[in-house]
Amino acid sequence: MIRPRRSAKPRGASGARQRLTDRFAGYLHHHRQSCSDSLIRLAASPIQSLMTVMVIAIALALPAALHTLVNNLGMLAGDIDIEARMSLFLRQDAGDDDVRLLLESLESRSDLTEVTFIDSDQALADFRRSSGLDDLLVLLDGNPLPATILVRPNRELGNQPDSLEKLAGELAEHPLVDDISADTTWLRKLQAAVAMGREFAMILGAALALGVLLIIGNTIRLAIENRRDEITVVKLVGGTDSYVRRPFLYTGFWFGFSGALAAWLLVWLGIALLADSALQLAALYESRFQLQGPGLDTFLVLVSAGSILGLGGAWLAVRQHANAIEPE
Amino acid sequence: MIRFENVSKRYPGGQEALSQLSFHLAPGEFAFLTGHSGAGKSTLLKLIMLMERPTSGQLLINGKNLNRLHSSQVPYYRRRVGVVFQSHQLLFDRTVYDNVALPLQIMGHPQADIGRRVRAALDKVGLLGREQQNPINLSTGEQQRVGIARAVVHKPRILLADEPTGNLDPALSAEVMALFREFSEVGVTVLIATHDIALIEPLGCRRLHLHHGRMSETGP
Ligand SMILES: Nc1ncnc2c1ncn2[C@@H]1O[C@H](COP(=O)(O)OP(=O)(O)O)[C@@H](O)[C@H]1O
Ligand SMILES: [Mg+2]
Repeated sequence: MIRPRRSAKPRGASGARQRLTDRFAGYLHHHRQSCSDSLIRLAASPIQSLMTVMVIAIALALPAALHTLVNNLGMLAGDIDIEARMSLFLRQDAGDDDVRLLLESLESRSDLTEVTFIDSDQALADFRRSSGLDDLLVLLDGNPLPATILVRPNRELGNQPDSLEKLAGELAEHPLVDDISADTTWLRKLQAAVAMGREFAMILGAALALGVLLIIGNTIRLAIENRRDEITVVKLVGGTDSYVRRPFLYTGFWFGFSGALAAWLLVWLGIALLADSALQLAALYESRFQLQGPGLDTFLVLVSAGSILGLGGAWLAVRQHANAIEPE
Repeated sequence: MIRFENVSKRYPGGQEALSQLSFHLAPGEFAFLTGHSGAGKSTLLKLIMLMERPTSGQLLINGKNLNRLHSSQVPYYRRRVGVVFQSHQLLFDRTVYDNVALPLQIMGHPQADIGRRVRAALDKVGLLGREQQNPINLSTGEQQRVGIARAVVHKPRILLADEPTGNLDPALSAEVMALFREFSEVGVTVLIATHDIALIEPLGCRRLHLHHGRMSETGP
């Protein structure tokens, strides 16, 4: 049906609009009120609230701390001077000019940061010095050690065993290169450990998230039970389910949010306590590595996960318990 | 305004609380619902509030069939009915003002409007100036009147009361009844359940009488 335009009654139309904005203002007012009321209620029983928040905080802090530690391990792997260096052993019959050309082409590569040539005499001298096998070496007829080029891949490449091996394969193909040593096993092991740590942090996080959901759900269930009379009256005078839900959803949100903030502080505290011993450990590896606290990304993930879990747990509890309360 | 057509109500596992009720209350009408304890008075009021659903029959409010009302619409329907019940009355964790303001807050009225209406309702029941008190500090009669103020603050079309004078002495009871009469005079349909025949006899109003769930009527 087409409704005729009510141009004859502009006051009526503006009145209706006024009512709508009034309603929206009332709706916003209830949001503000539920938001602050739920905080005031939490503050009214501080010990109980604090205990709940701490339980949530610990549950959230465990995976966050693990994640932070694993991240640090990953950074450590990049920082320590791991043997990403490669040795190119040259053929005995390599001519000086050819070697010089090879050196020049290696130096011009952007994926290598350091190219050092060690001729066979120097290699022998080095070996003599480090091994102490002087007596044995004199027995040898001539110099068995090949001339060697040491190259160091750039940092980006140094963290990727696959690329390293590809590079090694490429360099080995050069006619002057007899053999190449590029040991990436150590790097692979470390990276596998870091990946496993990340995965474990995820699984732990998922399990503990479920725990947080249940803790908040149960806390909200008790809050609903405590306010049964109020819910009954509200429903009797025409309160909708969403009106009844609102304060509890805010309570859940505050629990999750403050639990996440506290979790973040806990992780910081833990890292700060470990920082000194980490510094000593790093010194042993001649690294200037410093333990990093949880970053901004961890903070954002923690806070949004906490808030969502808080809302979700409250929502589950409200759906199950508050909706069922009917005046009788 | 309120029309019952062959309404029956049977509680699960019980006998019929109401059998084949048919009656009509016109807009602005004032009627008492009488009967012995267990006659079905509260059940009848609960049907109107949609706190219970009829087992059979039709209930029409302002021409609308309540059987066809979706449960999501129930809150909006309830906002057009004011109700004074014996149990779950006032909330003792907030002031008289906040108790009376509750229906308006739920409906999303502007704050200034709420203040004006709450004071008007409290004035009507003679409790102006007690807004900031906790209802727990009021006498039973005063609490009852706060309940009435909350039931009428949003100007409902229908006002229901279940034994509203149950705890009051005769003088206060007469006062409360006079108050309900005033509401019907401004067009509110009023239905009051009571077993206090002595109180209502002299008022000579329409009486719907229940006896074991069956209705007989006495005119004014
Ligand atoms: N929730 C209920 N479940 C089962 N039976 C009920 C329930 N409420 C009331 N009844 C029964 O219905 C009948 C009418 O009760 P009620 O409407 O409370 O009477 P009144 O208010 O007139 O005293 C009584 O027999 C009572 O036992
Ligand atoms: Mg009763």
